[in-house]
This record gives sequence, structure tokens and C-alpha cells, in this order.
Amino acid sequence: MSDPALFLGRFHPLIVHFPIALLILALLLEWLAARRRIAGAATLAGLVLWLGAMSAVLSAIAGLLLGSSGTYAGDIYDRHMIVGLAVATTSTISALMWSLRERGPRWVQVQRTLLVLAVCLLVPAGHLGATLTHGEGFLVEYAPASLRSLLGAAERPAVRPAGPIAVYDTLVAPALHARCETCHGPAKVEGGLRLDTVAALLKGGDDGPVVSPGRADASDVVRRVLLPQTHDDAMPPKGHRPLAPSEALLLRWWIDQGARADLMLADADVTPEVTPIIEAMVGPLDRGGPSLPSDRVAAASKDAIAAVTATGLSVEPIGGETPFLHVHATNGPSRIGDAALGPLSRIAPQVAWLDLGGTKVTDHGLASLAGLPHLTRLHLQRTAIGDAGLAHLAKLTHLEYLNVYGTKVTDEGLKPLAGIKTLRSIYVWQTGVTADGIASLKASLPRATIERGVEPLSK
Amino acid sequence: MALDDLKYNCTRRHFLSSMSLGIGSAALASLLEPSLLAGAKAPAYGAGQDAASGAALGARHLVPRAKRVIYLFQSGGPSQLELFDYKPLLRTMNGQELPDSVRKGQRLTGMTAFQKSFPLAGSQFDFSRHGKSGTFVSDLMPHTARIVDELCIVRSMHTEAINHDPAVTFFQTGAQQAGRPSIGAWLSYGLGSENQNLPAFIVLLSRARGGDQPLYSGLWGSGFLPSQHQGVPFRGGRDPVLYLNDPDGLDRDSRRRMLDTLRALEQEQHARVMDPEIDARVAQYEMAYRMQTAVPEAMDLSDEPDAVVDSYGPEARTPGTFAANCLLARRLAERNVRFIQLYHQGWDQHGDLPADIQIMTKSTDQPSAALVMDLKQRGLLDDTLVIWGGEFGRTNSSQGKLLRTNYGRDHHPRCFSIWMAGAGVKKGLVYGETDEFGYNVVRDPVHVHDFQATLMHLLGVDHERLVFRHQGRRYRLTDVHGQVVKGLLA
Repeated sequence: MSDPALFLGRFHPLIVHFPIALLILALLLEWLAARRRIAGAATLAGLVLWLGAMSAVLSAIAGLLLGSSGTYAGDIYDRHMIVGLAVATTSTISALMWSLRERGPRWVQVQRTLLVLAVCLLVPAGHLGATLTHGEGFLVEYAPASLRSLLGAAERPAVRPAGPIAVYDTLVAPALHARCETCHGPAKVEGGLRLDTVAALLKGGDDGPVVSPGRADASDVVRRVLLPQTHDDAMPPKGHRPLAPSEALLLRWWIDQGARADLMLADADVTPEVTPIIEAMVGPLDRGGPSLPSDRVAAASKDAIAAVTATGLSVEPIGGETPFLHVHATNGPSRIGDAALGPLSRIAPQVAWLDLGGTKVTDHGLASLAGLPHLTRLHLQRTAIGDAGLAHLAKLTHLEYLNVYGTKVTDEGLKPLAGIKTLRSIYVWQTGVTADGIASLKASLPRATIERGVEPLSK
Repeated sequence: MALDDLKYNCTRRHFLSSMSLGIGSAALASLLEPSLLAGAKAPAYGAGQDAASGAALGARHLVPRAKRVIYLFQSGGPSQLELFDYKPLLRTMNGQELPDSVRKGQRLTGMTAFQKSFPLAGSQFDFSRHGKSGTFVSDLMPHTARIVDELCIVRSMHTEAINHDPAVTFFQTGAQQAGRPSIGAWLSYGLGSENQNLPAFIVLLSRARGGDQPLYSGLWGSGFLPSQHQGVPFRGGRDPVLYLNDPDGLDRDSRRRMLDTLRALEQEQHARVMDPEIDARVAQYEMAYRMQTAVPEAMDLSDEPDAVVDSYGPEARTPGTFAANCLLARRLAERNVRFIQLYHQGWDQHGDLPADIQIMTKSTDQPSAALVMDLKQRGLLDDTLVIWGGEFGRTNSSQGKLLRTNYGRDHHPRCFSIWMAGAGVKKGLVYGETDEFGYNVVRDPVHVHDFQATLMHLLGVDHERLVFRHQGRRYRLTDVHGQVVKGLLA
């Protein structure tokens, strides 16, 4: 489509550099002329001043044409327009007066004052113009902290907020703010679309809504941020840093969850693909219950499962459309010994929950458990294991639940567990573990509960 | 000619051609997908499971939080105003009429329909704050109060049923009319049994007071589901399951040979008639055979440390009491029985409430609390859901004369309290709220169907997707209602 006004108006950012440079140069030359340092400075000052004034007027015209498109709104734009027009006016009057300086020293004085005024007004006009283009905080964003507080810029929010976490504010808004707000924010509203609040996001822009709550794949904002940078529709446009894949994924996940401003992380359905991203931003997620690793794993083959069930173990899919398996010895635990653990290596990536309670496994057999990388729940209660066996478990980096009640485990056996940061529940009733052992383990794993058994309740 | 056509609504030509088309399609279907006609179910990868006892769902819809449920059902309608819902306003307004603005035309039972006045009855028992959550629990339940930080108390339960049998049936089957499968039967059908030597659904009965509301075996029945999914009641005493043991003179090998022959005969009959109940019979015979060794082992308390048995209270060694049943429930949970239901009768306090409710709480308070803590120390509470509650609540106004030391309460469906503990349930939470009169729910109501949906959800089952086709339509536990209560979930 052709819009001559907008076409010419877009030259404003080009033209505006001329009055900036020329007017400052004009002031410098005036000063040199007054000090009679350089010959011919006086004449040059006049020429430069005239050029500066005319370019300022042209720039103002272009600016007004650009502003007519309606893309810019808010008080930043208004202030920029007023101060910019003031620069054009004062510099023009100053130039006119320069031509009439023969009329007397008073005219020279006024002329010089107006030039100084024009240059002083240049600074805020330029700053406001840059704010319109690059967004607030552009200059101070990467300033050292001391300088930043001096300049009064807002504090960067802490990465790990305390208390309940709001999904939009903590996980989605920072990326939108950093990547989109310069052109789709309070200062500049490209395409009539603002992306700085949830309400604005849902409202959409001139081309219609950009978010379909619940359907990220049908949302235009998601489509455009995922396009390759070479595509015309890609957002942010070429030349601007695109959203990181993790940021785009979070935006997409949030929209799928309903695009709500009030969604709290505790209520959200954290899918396996966003879990590592969210955990990198806010720390380990307290899932508080049977959970599964977020790695992608292929389904176990039927032969591998048959090999395991032949030993007497039972294998069940955990469910929830994951390939992970629950292996237990409920049916005939006395038949299960160390030998039965051998075939487990064939389904090693898929075993997430393993229940060997009451079986005949020993410390020796636990060595093969180290090869189960995705184990999150392990039951070893009422078996013949001891401290030596637990040492093998140190490599289980996803382990969250460990039950060793009724075994010969002592404080020594707990030591290797201190490195498993994902542990949440440990059961050590009827073992040799003492309060000291528990205390030292809790020091390394502050978020774990270690259950020692209850005092028998008496009337 | 036209009259003749009317007589023969279907000409021989039409009849023969459409019949052959129909039979042809059936034959084609049997070649392409034999299981369509055989009605086979997706098997779990169990060791030695027969098809009849396999789970209908190949894998759960969601990642389960709970593997088993222990449902401590308090039959008769425990008075929430004496136990879990503290209403000091009732004491202040003791004796005053229940305002119509609060009652809002709630229908009365036949017993109180003739009553001219409905004086508010403040509870004679005190409540105090307990635990880190500062929850109010009645002094009648000191042991439960001590573990309140493990519990999620739901104060906003409500139902439509106003009398016992429809209400208990509603809780157990999702409808007030009998004939549908109970929760345990649905779970046995959908998820199968983890332990092949014990039924997936076991029922333990007890009572603290004679002459209270009866229970019917339909409450743990299988309805229209294959009958091997019904609940199996275990009696207290020497013979938990009647006729389980072989008669004198018959040994186990003989029994095995007999069962093999019986199975061969049943399979012949099944091939001819294809009645699913034949499969059910075979499954139940086989299950009984395996139970012959598993049940005595599960019920034998000789390996229990005294301290543990004593923690369940003085009645724990008396078979058939609630305490003994709680201990058994824990043992069965250790053996991965999926749905263990206890019924404790005697809560129907229409009169003599202060005296009778103390009998009830004495028999249930300590064992319920001990059960939760015993499961916790064995690491079982993490994946076991424990529920305590009845079929409805009781009125805030007195039934019969309100005396200084005595009163009764009638049935009240509009609000009552239950508690849940364990797998997937928020700890130390009080969910929902009733008004100061203890009459209506004002915040976060939980209907019986919502409770059932949530229970299913915790076991990894989407209550809308576990269905059974019967009489031309799909049935499910929650019928066409029920929403998972996300606020309860951890």
C-alpha cells in the first residue's frame, strides 16, 4: 500500500541527525568566533546555523508526517513533538537573527542565547526520540549498578521471587518486555498492538487478535516469534534479537494454559518440556509427589519387558502417556533375588518406580540399580541391604523417594545420599539410623523429609 | 396385490439379500479384528495374569498419585458440628429458632416433618486449635487432632440424598438408586489388581453400637460390571472368608486338579455360549485358590510388634472391631490391595447424641489416627489415599426436645465434613467453608460426584473416560457429573 505521508515521514530518523550535529557545531563555531580563535569562524558559524535550522525544520515536518500515522502515542510522543518543534523554532529564529546581527550587539546576544537554548532543547528532544525508538531504560539497562541507581532507573527484579509465583509476571513478561515492548509498548504502538499487559495481549491490534487462549498454535504472536528471521512476518523484525527458544516455548505454554494473568505456578500444569526451563528460572519445582523425569525416552520393547517379568517381577506402565514403567515384586517377593535385577538393564531408561520391598535382594544386587538413570522412587524396605548397598545409589540423580525401613542401614549408609539433591522423602524407621545421622543428612538436603517413625500413640 | 405387499412387509428377496450382507460384514470383521467379537481387554504386563482379571484400561490416563485407597466409611452420618466444624454461634443462640433465611426451605425427613420448632443446639463439646495450621478440631477426637497437619479436612461436602440407604448408595455408586457398580468395583475393573493373590476390593465391617442403620451388600457390589470385581468382605475371626479353606480330606493338589478340570469344562461352555460371567466364575475360583494361602498370611498378626498393635488402641486385638480392621487395612495396603473399604456403623444420632457420639469417637479416633501414622512411617502414605467420612451431616437444630444435657440431630445433606490424607492431597488444609449456622456451604462446595472424580483423578483415572457400555449407553462412576477439585490436590 502506498502512503506518501508515511513514506516521507519515515525519513525523520535519517534527517534528524543533521540538526543535531549542525546545531552543536554552530554553537561551537559561535564560541570560537567570540574567542576569535579561528579565522573565518564567524562566517562559518552563520552558514552552519542556517543549515542546522533548515534541517531542523525539515526534520520537524518529517516528524509530524511520521506522527500522523498514529503509531506513536502517549506523553513521551507528545513531549518529543513539543520539544522538537521548539528546537526547530528557536534555531530558525536564531538563524534569522544572525542575518540581522548588524543591527546591534543586543541582537547578537539574543541570537546567541537562542542558539544555546536550541542546543539545550536538543538534548531532551533527542533523548525522548530515542526512547520512542528503543524503549525506556535503553541507556541504563546495562549500566553498572551504582550508576543505575544514581540515574534512578528501576531495580532489576530478582530472578527467584519468594512466595507464590505468578506465571505471567515471572516467566512470560520479562521476555516480552525485553524483546517486544520497544515497538509494542506504551511509547510506541506498532500495528495498534501493545504487548506489555495481558489485557493488551488479549485485545490484539489492527490486524485482529494475536492470542487465542488455550490454543497457542492458532495464536499469531506465537506463529510470528517462531518464524525464521529471514521471513517477512518474523517478530521481532530482522535486525532485532529474536526470542530465545526457551522464551518462545514459555509463551506458547502459557497461552495453552489459557493466557491468564492470574495463573499461579502452583496451579499450572507444568509439562515436561517446560519443566527444565522453569526450573532454570525459579529453581527446583516442588512437585511434592510421584513425578517423572522430563527427558524424552522411547518406549520399552515387549521382549525386554518379557525378560523382566520372567524373573517374577511385575511391570506396569505408569500411565499419563509416558513411556515410564513401574516395576514391583508384589507377587512373590521371596522369589526375587539379586539375579532378577539383571534383566532390568534392558529397560533401564524406562524404569522410574521400582518396588523391591520384602524381596531377597542384597547390597550386591544394588550395584545394578546404579544403571537406572531415570529412577525417581525406590523401595528397599524389609530387605537384607545395608550401608554398602546405598553407596551404589549415589549415581541416581533423579531419585526423589527412598524407603529403607526395616533394614540394617545406619548413619554411614546415609552419607552417599547427601549428593542427590532431588531427594524429597526418605524413610528410615526400624533401622540403625540415629538422630545425628538424620540431622547431618538434612543439612545437605534441606528440602527432604526424613521419616524416623512415630512414637506409638498412646491414650 | 397392494394388500399382499402390506402383509409381507419384507419380501423374501429383501430378507435374504440383507441377511447375507450382514453376515458377510460380520465375517469380514472377524477376519480383520478378531478381538472385536471376543471382547478381549488390554492386558497389563503382569506375570501370569489371566485375561479375565486384567485391567480394562491398558495404561492409566494420568500419572497416578495414589496406588491404593483406604476408605474409612462412617455409616449413619457423623455430626460434623460435634467433630470438625466449629460453630460457636450455635452455643450463643442455643435454644433459639433456626431462621428461615438460613433454612431456605430445605426438605425435612419423615422423622422431623411433624416438629413444630427447630431450636438451635450448640455442641456440648469444646473445640480447640491444633497443629501448625491451627485447625479447630473437637476435643472428642484428640488423636485425630494431633495429626491434623497430615489431613485435608473438607468442610464443604454436600449431597442431595436425605436418607441413609440412598445416601450411602450415592457415595458408593454415584446414583441414589441401587444397581450400579461401587467405586472399588470400578477401580478393580479399570485398573485390575496389583496383587494377584488377593482381591482388588476388600471390605471390612464393624460397628460400635447395635441397632443402627444397616448396610447392604449392594454397596460393594459390581452392578453391571463382571462380577469378579465385587468387593470381598473379610470377616473378623478365624474364618475371614467363608468356605475359603478346603474341607477336611481335600488337599491343595487335589484342589488344583479339580480346578484345572473345572476350567477346561468352563472353557468349553464359554466357547459355545460366550457368557462373560463364565469367565468371571473361573477367575473367582482361581482367585479363591490363591487366596487360600494369601489371606491367612495377611490376617495373621503374630509378626506385628506389640507397640504397633497397641498404637491402634485397646480394641485392636479384638477381631471385628474398627481398630482391628484398621490394622488389617494397613496390612492389606502393604500387600498392595487397591481398594480397602471399612464400614463402621453407629453414627446415626437422632437422639442421645452427647452420650452416643462419645462411644463412636472412642472407637474410631485412635485407630484412624494410628492408621495414618503407621502408613506414614512405612513410607506408604505417599501413595495411599486415606478417606474418613460418612454419607451426610447432621442438622444444627435439635431433633426432639432440646434439653440442657441432651439433644439429637437429624440428617443434613447440605453440608458435612470429611477428611482425606496421603497421596496427592494437600496437607494441613481446611478446604471449603460453611456459614456460621453450620447449615449451608458458602465457599468451595464439593459434591459427592466431585469427590468421586477427585478420587479417580488421584489414582490416575480420568473419571469421564472410565466407562462401561450397558443397556445401550455408557455408564461411569460419576454418571454425567463431577469435576476434579483441583484446590485439594498437592
